[in-house]
Amino acid sequence: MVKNQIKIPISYLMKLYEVTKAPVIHLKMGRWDLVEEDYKKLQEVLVDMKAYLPADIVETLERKISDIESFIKGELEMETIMFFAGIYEYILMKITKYKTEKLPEEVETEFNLDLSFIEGTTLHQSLYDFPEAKERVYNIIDTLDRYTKYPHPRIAEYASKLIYYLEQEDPYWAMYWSERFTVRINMILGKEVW
Amino acid sequence: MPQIKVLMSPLFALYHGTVPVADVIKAGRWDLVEDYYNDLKDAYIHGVEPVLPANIARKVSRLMMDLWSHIEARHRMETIYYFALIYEYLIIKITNPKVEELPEDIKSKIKEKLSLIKEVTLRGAIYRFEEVFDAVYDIVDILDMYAKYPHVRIAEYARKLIFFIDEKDECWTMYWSTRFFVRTTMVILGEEI
Repeated sequence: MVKNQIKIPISYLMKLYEVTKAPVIHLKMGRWDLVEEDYKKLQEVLVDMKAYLPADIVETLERKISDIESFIKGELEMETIMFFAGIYEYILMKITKYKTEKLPEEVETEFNLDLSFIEGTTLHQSLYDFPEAKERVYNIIDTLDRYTKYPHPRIAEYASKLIYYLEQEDPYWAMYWSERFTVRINMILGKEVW
Repeated sequence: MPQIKVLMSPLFALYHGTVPVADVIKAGRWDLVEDYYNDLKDAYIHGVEPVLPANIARKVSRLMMDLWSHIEARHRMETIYYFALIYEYLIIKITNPKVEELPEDIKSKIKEKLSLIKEVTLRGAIYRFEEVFDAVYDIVDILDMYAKYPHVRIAEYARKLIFFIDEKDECWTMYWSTRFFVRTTMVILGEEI
């Protein structure tokens, strides 16, 4: 199934990209004050984008935005990164054309376990599990090689970045890329993640 | 043209093999550049070339040869240019995104800006980076006004390009300006590179 494209001005997309990535850098510096600024900028760009997005997407985004606010208040680093990254990937998927895929039932359980393991490992910053998470990224690539019908260059790119940061034992960027990787895969498999 | 099915692992290998090249060149490690070239060629020959239409495959082979000659000659900017160009060209051909249909006068304006970006970055002329900065934003403004489709990758590449211009990093500026140049030329102007 091909999803429709929604036109959004490129300057808004540039701002959205910048403002959802910046918290990773600011949290690595321990600067919650800057993350609060990022949050305000995210709110601003979403207000600008509202005019272009369908009501159901706007509603989801508003819910997620308030989740981010509570993560920032609670100074929860990984959750904050996860939701900034997730919002960006969710919007990308909603505005661009993509084809959904279906995995055979017999591989789906194992596949989902691999995805959950990766997300859990990065969310809990379990550095000792990073090598195992890396192996599971490769498992996912192998499964997609075997069962998908269409090319998915972004998944390959995210996998490459995720592996790099798992190898570097950088929990901040590993969290960011694991969330974008997970959201994209789930949505390509037809799962409405949020 | 329909999408071309390329497996995930060669795409992964192509990306993994083309992105770090700017850092490796910055470090002056031509031995590693040669390794990346071999990995790229390997991933391409085994995973991508067999599923490409003959005309595209011929073109990529020529690009690979050009890349190798620049590596042998130790041309820093041209080497980065060809690594980035080959990757972007392939993913556009593989995914077949929608191409804009813009009026000719608008296309000429964009083309003029793109030529400037390519010329300045290929020369590594840091003292002219402000011109590149302005040209990128001019293109973004034009697209905001005239483009019909969302061009997420163009937005991301523009942002990265602006970042590395600010950093005065000639190698990464070269890498992202090439990807921006190739995608804008093919997807916005509808022209082959």
